[in-house]
Amino acid sequence: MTRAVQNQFSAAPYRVRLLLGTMAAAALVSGCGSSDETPAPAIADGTKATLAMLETTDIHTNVLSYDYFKLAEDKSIGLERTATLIAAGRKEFQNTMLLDDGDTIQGTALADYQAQVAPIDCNTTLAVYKVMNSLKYDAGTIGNHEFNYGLSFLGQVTGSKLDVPNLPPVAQQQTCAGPAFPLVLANVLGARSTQPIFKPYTIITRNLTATTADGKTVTAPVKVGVIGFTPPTIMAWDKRNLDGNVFTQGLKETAEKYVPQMRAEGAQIVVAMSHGGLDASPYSPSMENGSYYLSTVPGIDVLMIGHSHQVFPDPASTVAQFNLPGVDKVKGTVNGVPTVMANFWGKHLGVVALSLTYSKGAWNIDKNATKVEARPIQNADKTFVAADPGISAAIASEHEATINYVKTPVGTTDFRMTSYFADVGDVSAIEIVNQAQAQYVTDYVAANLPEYAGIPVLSVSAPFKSGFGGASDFTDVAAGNVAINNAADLYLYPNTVYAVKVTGADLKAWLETAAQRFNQIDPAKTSSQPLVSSYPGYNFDMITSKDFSYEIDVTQPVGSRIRNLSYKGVTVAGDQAFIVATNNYRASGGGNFPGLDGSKTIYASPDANRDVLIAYIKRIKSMTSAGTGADRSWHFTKAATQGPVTFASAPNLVALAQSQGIMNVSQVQADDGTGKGLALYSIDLGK
Amino acid sequence: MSARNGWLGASVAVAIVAASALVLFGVAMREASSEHVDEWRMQAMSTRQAQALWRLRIAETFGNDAARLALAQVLVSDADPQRVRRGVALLRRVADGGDARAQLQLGKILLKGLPGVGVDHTESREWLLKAAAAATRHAANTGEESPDPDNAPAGYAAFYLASIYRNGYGVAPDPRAAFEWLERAANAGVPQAQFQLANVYRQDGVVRRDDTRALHWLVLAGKAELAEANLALAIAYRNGELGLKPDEDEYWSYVKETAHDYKHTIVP
Repeated sequence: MTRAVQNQFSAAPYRVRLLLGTMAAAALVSGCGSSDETPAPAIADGTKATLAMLETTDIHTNVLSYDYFKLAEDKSIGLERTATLIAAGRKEFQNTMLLDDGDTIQGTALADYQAQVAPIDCNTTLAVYKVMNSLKYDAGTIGNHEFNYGLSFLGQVTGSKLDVPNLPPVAQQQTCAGPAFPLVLANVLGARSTQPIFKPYTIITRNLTATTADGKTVTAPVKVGVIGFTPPTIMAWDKRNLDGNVFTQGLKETAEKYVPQMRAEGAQIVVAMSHGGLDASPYSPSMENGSYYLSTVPGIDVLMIGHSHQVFPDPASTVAQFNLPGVDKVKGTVNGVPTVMANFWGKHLGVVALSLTYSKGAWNIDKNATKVEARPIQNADKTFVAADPGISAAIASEHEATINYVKTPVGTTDFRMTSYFADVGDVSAIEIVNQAQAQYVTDYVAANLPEYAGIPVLSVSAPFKSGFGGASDFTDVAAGNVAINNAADLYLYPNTVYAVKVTGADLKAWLETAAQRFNQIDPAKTSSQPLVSSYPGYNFDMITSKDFSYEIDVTQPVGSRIRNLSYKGVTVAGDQAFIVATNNYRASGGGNFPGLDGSKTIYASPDANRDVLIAYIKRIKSMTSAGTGADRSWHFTKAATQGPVTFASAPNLVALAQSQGIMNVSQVQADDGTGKGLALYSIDLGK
Repeated sequence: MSARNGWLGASVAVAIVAASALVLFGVAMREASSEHVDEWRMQAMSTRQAQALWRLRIAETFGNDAARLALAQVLVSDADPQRVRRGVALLRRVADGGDARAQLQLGKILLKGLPGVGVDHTESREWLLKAAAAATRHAANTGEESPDPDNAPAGYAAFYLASIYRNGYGVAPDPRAAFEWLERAANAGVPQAQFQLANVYRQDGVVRRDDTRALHWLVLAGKAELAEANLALAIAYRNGELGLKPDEDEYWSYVKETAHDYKHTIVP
């Protein structure tokens, strides 16, 4: 019955709902108004105080000034430095509140380690929250990236019980360790409960150090309401985690519902923490960056925004969202509401110093005396503020575990995997990538795409490190243990695996494009001819498979070089179907390969090629030259040249080339004269 | 007799009240604002629960145009081919009425097909051409915000038309026409089109190589958080391409931006 009534209520048109809602709210207020009121301490009219609201946003688990990609310090980021600004702010202002605007728990190897590699247990506090607890945050909200690891993990690490269909009933959920401050989020609701999955808002009482009109220092309480919002677009971004579990509501409607409620419960100042930027295009509840419209909701005094990784206020900003009508990028207001955005990764601290005056029973904000700033951790002389030493000490073990993980062996190789001779046919650093990609796509198609069953799956990959930057710019993984950081050498770029369905003709056009890597060689020429053109190595896609073979005839012009394309010994027909495992960059138009513009993509996976490679190495455990490093699908078409054909690579590696079956190269000069530490080699195309 | 008349009278009165209530309810549903329809669409799409779907159905039945489009969008995103077909039928009605968003979505569905809906390149192109002629609600992209298909149907339609002419889907391949459509899409702020246009400009082909233009479009697409564009910028900083000086710090900063962008990718 209740449900039926509720359904009718929900289906009622807006005006009716508004009326019923107002009546209900009135009943609520009148029903509980008298019971829990405590006599407010007398505050003299004219009492003044400054309350500084401090904001961090988009920290993305950059707790330390450390780059887990490079395994090296990076002083330009890190909450350990923002902490120094927080401490300075607390000294400068008598009254402060510290708030976080979300995108907190995801974004570094440390985050992945604690969420996926060695998931923390219920009694452990996530490193970033541990540090935030020690910094005594007052409240925080939930950004879109908080949903990246799924709702179960989010509930656990935030110490919340989330009422969503795919988790056990709330009564059966444990309360786990989490932040010691409230997390608020008003516009994400449980699919069944239709109630916010987090507390929509909180009201914090702060005892302000204030000054009376006659100059006396007094303590005076203020009630600050904090409400949180996240981009409704999470439903598309984290579909696999959220579909069927939650839904989102528009920022404006949600604020219009709760802000009056917060006021009715005594909030004297209302701070909206909105993990989203400003967008003045026509309002819709599903818009990603709805913060602009929050500024038009009566009763919101301060806006703390984020998500766009930008700085506001900033008089010099050319960013479109800060040059909209009603946005004052000098003073830091949006339609008159003080607003701050504190960049990302701890690079800035947002400060909204509210100037308050008590009058006629209420705290009033003097907007002209209120100051908004985004303070950088970088000093004017380009140095950085010092790190708070307590922070690295607090998470030393988590940090060390992450680094150890990155250095952990996942498999072994009985051969040296390099790209020194990839341009002339060595596949020792490429075949393993192609095998991993092909296996991943084969498995996915078998499990999820029955309509493509039976179509051969191939894979292409390119030597990303091919000497452009000099002798050290090659992949080189020594024989022995292979660790996770070696995978970054084998697969340099942060791509994700995509699968495309193409024809034999498409595939030939693809390989023709890649073969632009080579200059056209004139066999009759007696002078030296460089083999490799300026066409980038990262576009030199190649197949490395026992089943597939082709030739590249460098004596022919671009577009007519690929010959004898054959699959399992049979010539490939122009209309023959293939599935090719590649990456998002190539499948979406990177390199402008013929026909690769997204329209042929049959699977856009969320998984990084590098992670797929790591998983594959873990699976096969030991790599052997015969199994994963010697299947040359392509050869140069034989051509007897009158003069030398040359290319550059790191010096003194002829023996390495020969060990990989490249028997037709010799070193001509130990220094090719480019000043990059490269040697000049020649290749005999007649062999 | 009089009791019977009384009963009859009461019944008639109840019927009149019920009919009036129904009419009023219908009028109210027809008049439901696009914001409300958007909220119902969000709930229906996310939860697949009957209640949210019914609100859209009722509003659609009473002639609310926004609800008809929203209901169609919810149905075509379903896994059940029968629902998808019903959604496509509804989309056709809205598209016939001249709604560019529906024309775009229909054109897209017919270009790639869906469970229960076959590919039809000719019809796809017809709808996309209609959508491409629509005025855009969104100002041309200035960099930070990429318009979504609902705000810039003409731009997205141009993007798919570029693909049709590039690949020869139901037409003879026409690289020049493909380029012109791609340029229109890029100008309308479609990040994928900006990325592809940048790649076109990186080599001689249908246009002369122009690194300055390529960089311009990559930067715009990158600001709109297109991972591929930020990766291209990372690589350009690594190797000193497109007139940029090699810069290790910029390289790493774009690599990290790329990694971050993936969490915003809408997986189809």
